[in-house]
Amino acid sequence: MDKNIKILVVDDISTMRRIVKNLLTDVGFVNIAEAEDGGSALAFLRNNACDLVVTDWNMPGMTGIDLLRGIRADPKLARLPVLMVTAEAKRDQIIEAAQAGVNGYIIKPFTAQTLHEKMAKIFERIGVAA
Amino acid sequence: MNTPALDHEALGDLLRAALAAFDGGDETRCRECIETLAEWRSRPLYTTCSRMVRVFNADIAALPLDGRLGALAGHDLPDARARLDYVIRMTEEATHRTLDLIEDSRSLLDGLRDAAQQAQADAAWTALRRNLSQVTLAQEYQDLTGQIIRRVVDIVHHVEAGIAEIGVVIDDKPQPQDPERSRLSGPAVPGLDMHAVSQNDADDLLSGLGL
Repeated sequence: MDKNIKILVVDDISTMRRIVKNLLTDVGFVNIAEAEDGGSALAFLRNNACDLVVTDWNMPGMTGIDLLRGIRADPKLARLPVLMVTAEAKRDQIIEAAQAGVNGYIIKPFTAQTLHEKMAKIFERIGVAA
Repeated sequence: MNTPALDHEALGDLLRAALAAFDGGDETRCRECIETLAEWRSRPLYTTCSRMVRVFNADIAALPLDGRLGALAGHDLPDARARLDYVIRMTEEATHRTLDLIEDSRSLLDGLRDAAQQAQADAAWTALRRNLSQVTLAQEYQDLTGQIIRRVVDIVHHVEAGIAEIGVVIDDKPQPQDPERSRLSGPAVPGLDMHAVSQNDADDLLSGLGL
């Protein structure tokens, strides 16, 4: 996997953003941006190049699922891979995220291994894998 | 009954006055007489209703409701909320402190790897040892937050007992929540949230959907 890809981490909890960022830098990713809700994430994405979004679901303001729908509805962003990392663990929600076009779904609490596996799988599928 | 009842004579006078006013074309006077009659007619109903309200109020005042519910809502619950807010702050601070130390240690490790001289390596090693001690210390939040949360559990128990004592029937069946709140259920608690699936279940579900 290309370690120079740009990743946007979206979570309203600052500690969670740091933890995800830490896990990513630990395996060599260097290009990581943060946003604290869907609205600011979408604004960032419309003005900055990005290769992967890692987002929480339950956030004040715009939620992760609405961010996902916003990305899919924007012709310029529609193909951007989105990995959902969330405590929401209902079957209905996982199906809802899949139908909205999510590329991966991780249930909190999660391990570093799960994060890396799901990211590898996403890039394998879209054919950007190193 | 303390309503001044119209006696037979007064009633007769009133009826005759109404009829006289009617015959005489005095519409205002006629209406006055009829209204007085109507008022007299509905008096007993008013009296009964106001007596019932007085009895009801007295019964409510006799219940220990006000004081105890007031104490629960006015003191116990805000107290529990303040304690839990403090737990959130404390855990957040401890997590940031730990992450700071981990990030610092990571760069110390890089320095250790790249150290050209023994003195540099020794300094990095000492700093790493100190960071590990600090990380250990940062975990003391668990003891404190654990104690605070136990207090809150006691408060909740106390509130539950208080409500039961007041005589409210406690219903242990879950209440239907408003749809937007129940839609996002947050972290699943083992043994309580039966709806939750594991990461493996989620993976199976998604691969079944072609992901």
